[in-house]
Amino acid sequence: MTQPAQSSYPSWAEYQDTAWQSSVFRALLIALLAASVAAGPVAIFRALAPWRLAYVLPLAFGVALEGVISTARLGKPAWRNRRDLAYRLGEIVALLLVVRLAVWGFSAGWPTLSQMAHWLRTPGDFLDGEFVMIALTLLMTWTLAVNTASDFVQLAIQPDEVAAREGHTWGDSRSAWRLFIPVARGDIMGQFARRWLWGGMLLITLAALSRVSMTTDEARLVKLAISRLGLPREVVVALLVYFLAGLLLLSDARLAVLRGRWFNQRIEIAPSVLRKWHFSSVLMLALVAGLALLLPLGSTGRLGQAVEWLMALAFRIVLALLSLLSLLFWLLSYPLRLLSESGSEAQPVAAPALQIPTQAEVAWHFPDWLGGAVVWATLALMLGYLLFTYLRAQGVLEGRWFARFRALRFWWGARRARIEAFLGPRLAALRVRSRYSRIKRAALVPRASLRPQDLPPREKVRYLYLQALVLAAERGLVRPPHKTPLEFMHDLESNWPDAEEDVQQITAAFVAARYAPREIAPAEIGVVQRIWGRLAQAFRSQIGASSGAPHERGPGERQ
Amino acid sequence: MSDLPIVLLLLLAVAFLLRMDFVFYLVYVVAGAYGLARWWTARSLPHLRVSRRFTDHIFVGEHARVTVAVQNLSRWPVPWLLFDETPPPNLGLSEAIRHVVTLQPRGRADFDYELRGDQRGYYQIGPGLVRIGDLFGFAETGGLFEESQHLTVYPRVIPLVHGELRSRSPHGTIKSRQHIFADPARVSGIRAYQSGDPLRSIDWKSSARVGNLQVKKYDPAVSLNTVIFLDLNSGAYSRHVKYSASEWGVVVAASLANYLINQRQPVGLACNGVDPLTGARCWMIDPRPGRVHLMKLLEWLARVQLAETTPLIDWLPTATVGLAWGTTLIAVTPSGDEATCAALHRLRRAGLNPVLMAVEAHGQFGAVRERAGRLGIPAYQVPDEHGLAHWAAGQLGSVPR
Repeated sequence: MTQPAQSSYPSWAEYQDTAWQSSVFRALLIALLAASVAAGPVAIFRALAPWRLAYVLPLAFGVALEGVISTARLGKPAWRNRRDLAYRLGEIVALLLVVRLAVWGFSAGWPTLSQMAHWLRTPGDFLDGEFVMIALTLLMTWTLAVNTASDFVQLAIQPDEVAAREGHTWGDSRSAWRLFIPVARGDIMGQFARRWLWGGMLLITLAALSRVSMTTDEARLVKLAISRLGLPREVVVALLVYFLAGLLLLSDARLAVLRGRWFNQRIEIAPSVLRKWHFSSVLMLALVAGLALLLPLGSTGRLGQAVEWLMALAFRIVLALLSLLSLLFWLLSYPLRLLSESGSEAQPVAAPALQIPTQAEVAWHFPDWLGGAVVWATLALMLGYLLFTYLRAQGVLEGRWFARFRALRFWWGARRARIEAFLGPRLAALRVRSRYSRIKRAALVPRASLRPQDLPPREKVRYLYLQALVLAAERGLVRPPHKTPLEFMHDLESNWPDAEEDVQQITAAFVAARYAPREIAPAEIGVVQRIWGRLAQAFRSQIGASSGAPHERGPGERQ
Repeated sequence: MSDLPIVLLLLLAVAFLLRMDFVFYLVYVVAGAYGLARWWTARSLPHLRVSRRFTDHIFVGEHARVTVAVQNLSRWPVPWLLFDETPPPNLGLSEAIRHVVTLQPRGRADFDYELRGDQRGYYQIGPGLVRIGDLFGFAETGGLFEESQHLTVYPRVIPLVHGELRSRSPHGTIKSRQHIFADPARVSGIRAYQSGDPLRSIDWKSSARVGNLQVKKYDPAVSLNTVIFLDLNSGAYSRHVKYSASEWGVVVAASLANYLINQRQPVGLACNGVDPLTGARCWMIDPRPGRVHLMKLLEWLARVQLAETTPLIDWLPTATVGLAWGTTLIAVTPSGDEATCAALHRLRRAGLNPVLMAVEAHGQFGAVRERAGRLGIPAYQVPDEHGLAHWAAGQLGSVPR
C-alpha cells in the first residue's frame, strides 16, 4: 500500500492497494477452489455416461484462473470502461467456444460434413448432452471463481478509504469525506464463508451420489444401493483441495478484514504480522491435517458408533412422526374422498380436433434449412459481437489485421463526413422549403372549425400574433423554431422598418397573453386588432407589390 | 461463520449414511481448525502480561517516556495482537496509542510513547486494551489489562528569593526586622554599654580589650512555623475564572511551600479540595521541615482538585485547633471577603499569625486590604506571576502592625 504523496494532485496509483490485488498465491487458491467444485459433477457424469472426462478438471482450472484474472483486471481503474455485461457475456461465449472445441477434441471427435449439414437443419442437435453438461459444469466453476475473486477485490483497501485517511479536510464540516462509508468487509467474508461451506456440502453430496446405483428388481421396484465403497482418486483430491484452499482463503479474507479495520483506524501494523500470516495459516492447517490422520475414520471408533446410533435413533423418530402424520391426514381426508367419489362421474375425454392444413399452407413451402440458417446467422451475429467485444477488451485484436480494420473504419468515417458535408446544406434547404410550403398551405386553407370572434381574450391575442407570423411567412420570413418571440421581433423590425412600433406592440401583447398570469381585459383586444390591421396593411402593401399574393381576410371578419 | 457447525453435522450425517470414510477426515480437518483456533485464542489471553515503565513523578514541562511491554508467557505464538491505550488528556498526546504485532512463543513486544507534563495532576496511565484472535476469523477475544499506574505532574513552582512574611514565634532561624525577637545566638557586633543594657549581654573580652564596657548586638530572628491553607472550594471562586484562579492558587501554595522549606522552616498544608487518591475532602499535613516533606506537599498539591466542599471560613476553626501558638497561617483564597477577614481575625485573637493572600484579580482590593489591616491581618493580592514577584520583592503594600 503506497501512501499518497504530499503533492496537491496525487496520481490514482497512489490510492491503489496494488500489493493486495496482485497476489499470485490467492489467484491460484481461488482457481483451485473453483476447479475442485467441478469434480462433483464429473464424478456423476462418470457414473452415468461413457464420456471421456479426463480433460475436464484441468480445463476447469484454466477456466477458473481466467475468471480470476479477468476479475482482478476489471478491478483496476484503467479497465473500468469494460465493466459491463457485454464483456462478461463475451467471456462466456469464449468459454463456451473453448468447451465446444475441447469436447470435440478430447471426447466426441471432430464433426463431419454430414453432421454440420444436420445441424444446419436442426440447430438444437448441436447442443448434445456432453457439451451441455460440461459447459454447465465449467460455467458453474467460472461463476464461482469470478464471485470469489470479486469478493477479494472488494476486500482490498479501496481508494476512497485511502483518501479519507490521508485527507486533511476531515475536520471540515463541509468536507465530502464525511460521507465516506467503510466497506462491510465482515459481511463479504461471511458471504464467502457461506458459499464455501454450502458449496462443500454440495460437492460431497454429488461425490456421494456418484457411488449410488439405481436398479430394478423382478417386481419393477426401484432399488438404490451403494455400488462401491471408495471414491475416485480425483474426487478425493478435489475434496481435499477444496476444503484446504477454502480454509486458506478464509484466513486470507480474515487478514483483509483486520487489515481494512486497522487501516481505517490508523493503527500501526508491524510488518511481521502481514509477512507471517500465510505461513502461520499453512503451518496450522498442516498441523491439523496431520493430527486428523491419526484419528479413527468412519464407524471404527467408539465415537463414530455412538454418533451412528444417535443418528439411527433420530431417523426412526422422524420416520415414526411422518407415519403418524400421514395416518392422521388419511383419516381426515377419508370422508371427503367418499363425498367426491359419489358426486362425480367419469366424463368422456373429447378427442382433439384434427388440424387440416389449408391449400395455401401446403403450397407455401420454405426450404428445410432456412430456419436453421436464420438461427445460426442470428446466433453468429450475437455471439460474434460478444466475442469481438471480449477479444478487443483483452487487447487480442491489436495486431496487423485489426490495424487494417481500423484503417477501414477511418476511411469510411472520412467518406461519410464528406457525404454529410455535401448533402447537409441541401437537405436543410429542402427542409426549410417544405416547411415554408406547409405553412403556406396552412395559411391558405381556411380552418372552418376556428371562429376567432368566439375565442377568449387571451387566445384571441395569440391568434392575432400567429396570423401576423403567417403573413410574415408568406412574405418569406419564417420564424425559426429556436427563436423566441422577442428575438424574432428584431427580424420583423428589420424587414418592415415602417411597422416597427406595431411589431413591438403585438409581440409584447403576445408575450403577455402567453406567459403573464394576469387576466387579459377584453378592451385590450380592440387595440391589438387595430395593430394587427395596420400590420396586415403593411404586409399586404408589400405582398401586393409581388405577384400572385392571396387576399388576406381580417381576423375579425367572418370566414 | 455461524453455518459451520450445521454444515459439519450435515457432513457427518452424509458420511455415516453413505459410508464415506474420507468425509470423516474432512470433518476432522475443518472442525479441528475451528476448535484449535478457539482453544488457542482463549488460551493465549491469560498468558499475556502487560507492564509499563516510566518516571512516575515529573514537574510541569518535563517529559516522561512510557515503555509498554506486552509479553507472551505461553509456548504458543499469538498470530496478531492489537494493543490500544488512550493516554490521559493534557499530557501532549491527542491520539490513542495503537499497535498491531505478532508475538512469538515467550516473546515480547515493546511500545514507546512520550508524555509531556503540560498540566499538574495525578494521571492514570492505562489500562491497555488487548485484542487477539485467530487466523481464520473463528475466534476473537480481548480484555483490559488493569494495572493501577499513575503519573504525578507536580505543580509549577516559582522560586522566591524573599517573602513578605512576619512571625510571632521567637527563636527561629529567619532574620527578622522585629528587634523584640533578638536572638542571643546571632551576634552581629558590639557597641558601647548604655544604661539599662542587661548585664548578660556585656562582652567581657571586648570590654577588657577596649577599656570600656561593651555589649553584644544581636540579630533578631523568628521561627516561621507555617501552615498554608489553600481554599479550593469551587463556590468561593468567580465562575469565569474558576479554573485558572484555582490552578494559580495551587501554584502560589507550592511556591510558598518551596520558599519556606528553602528557609529551613517547617511548613504544613491544609486544603479543602478533594484528593482523588485518598478521597479526602478537607485535609491537613502537619508542618515539618525538609526537602522530603516538600515533595510530599507538592505531591498532594499535584493531586488536589477543585470541588464543592466545606467553605474555608467554616472549616478554619476546627482545622486550626491543634496548631501551636504563633504559627503563621497563610490563607490562599480567591478573595478576602468580610467573612474571611473576620475568621482570620478570630484566629489572630487565638494566638495565630494569619496572612491573607488573594489569588483572584479584584478591582476593589484596596478596601479589602484596609479592612484586613484594621483587623491586624496583612493582606496581599497576587493574581498572577507578576503580582507574586512584587510580593516577594516586598513592594506590595500590606498594612504594617
